[in-house]
Amino acid sequence: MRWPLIFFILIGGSVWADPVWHCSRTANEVKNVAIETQENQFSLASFNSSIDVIGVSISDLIDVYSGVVTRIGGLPLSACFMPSNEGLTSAALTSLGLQPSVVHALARKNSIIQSNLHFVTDEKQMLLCIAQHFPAVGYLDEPTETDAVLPCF
Amino acid sequence: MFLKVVTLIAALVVAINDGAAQDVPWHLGSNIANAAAPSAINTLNIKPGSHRVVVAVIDSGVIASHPSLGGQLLPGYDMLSAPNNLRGGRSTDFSPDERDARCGQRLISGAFRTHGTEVSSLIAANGVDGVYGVNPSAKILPIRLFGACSMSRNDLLDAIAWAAGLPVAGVPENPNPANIINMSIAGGLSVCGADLQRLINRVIDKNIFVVAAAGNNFHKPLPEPANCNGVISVGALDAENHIEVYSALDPRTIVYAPGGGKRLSADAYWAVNKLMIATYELDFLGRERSATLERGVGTSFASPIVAGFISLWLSHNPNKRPADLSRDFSKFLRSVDPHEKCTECIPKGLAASSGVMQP
Repeated sequence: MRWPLIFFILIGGSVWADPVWHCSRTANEVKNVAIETQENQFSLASFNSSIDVIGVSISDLIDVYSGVVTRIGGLPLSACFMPSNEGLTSAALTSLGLQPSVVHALARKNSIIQSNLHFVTDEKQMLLCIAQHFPAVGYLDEPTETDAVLPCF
Repeated sequence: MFLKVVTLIAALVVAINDGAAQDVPWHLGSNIANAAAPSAINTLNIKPGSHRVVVAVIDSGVIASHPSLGGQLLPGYDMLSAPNNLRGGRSTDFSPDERDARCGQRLISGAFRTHGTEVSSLIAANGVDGVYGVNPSAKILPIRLFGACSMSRNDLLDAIAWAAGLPVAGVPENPNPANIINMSIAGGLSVCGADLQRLINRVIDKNIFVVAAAGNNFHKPLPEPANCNGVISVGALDAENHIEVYSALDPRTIVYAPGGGKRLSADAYWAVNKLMIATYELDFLGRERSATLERGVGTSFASPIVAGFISLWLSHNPNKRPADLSRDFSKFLRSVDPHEKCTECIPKGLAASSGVMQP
């Protein structure tokens, strides 16, 4: 029932596909907080800035793709990994100082022992992965917005 | 077999030598000739001057009990107002929210809790447990602006005003106005808002230096407050003096400092490329304990290095004003390779010399 609700808004494209980090959207119920206009959306500089997504830091990205258990608000953070898109994956992971081959090995192990690194095969699955494994992070080659996923950083 | 043994012994010798070579954080430089990281600020042998410098840290709060910050903190303030403040409203308690605190259903990494402590340690840590601030004689004025919930723009404006010693309605006067304000924060508007710019102009008119992280937006332009005129925006370098991939990229950012990032391939102690910070970690029972870790990554951590550097300079030259910076700082700037994505950028790193102590 979730897919019919999902819509994509391509904010922009580029010839050179830099990886764009994406995060799980925050659940709708954020009670008792001030109205979030753009001018109010600040965050600690190591974190993503939007209150519409889970709050993660650069260190969290490094940790979770290194296989380190990382918790967000008490829940384990999941990371989605798309080895079939070698160029994008290499750009995303090397920007964090990680070797795609090592992450690949970790993800393979995690597919046997249930853990927090998840294989996906294409961009549709990447979005689904980030949505289903809330809270989760992943990467795409362009900013994409759904009812469960938003660009972050 | 023989070759393997020789290789192993050689590797051990290198490892032991590396350990002996450096017992202070790499970003401060090295006591060994030609061993400093290319982007190190080289303040290791610059003793602080006699003048007290107050550095306000507008951040997630500071955990005052950390041994590396013992004796370094002034009475601060929690400027986060209701309804965003899980403790109900503003108070003198500048400690962060609990580790797994949530705002409704919004989830946030536990890393937010220690952020302000980590930032403060890069400015003024006392050397306990191996964490050294750039200027251990500086005093930190902790101002909490971030918790599990978000903050409002008014809170930010009030935090800056209070740091500068300006009156804030309903808040006691700040008895220790800052000489420098560090903001390792980013967001807001793509063009500095008139309200924020007016306030920053007032603060700079009081001869207070305003330093802000350029932001970790992977080479996009500057967010607020770094994009406001007069703010010293700080981008991040790796240990080898290259601009980090996550750093904002904007011609208005001139000053870059070590910000940590991916491990480097060089065979050197600084190849770890993470900043040594005072922080907290969880033990195997899930209890939080103070720690010293090489794990700082982000422009959040480059900014306090520059704030600390300015505080060191002010401790020798207390009458210097923000207007003096561009002229006087030229002797501490060194080149950084420009980034191909920003041909107009003129990035510079910091490298101390004995000139820090001269008027």
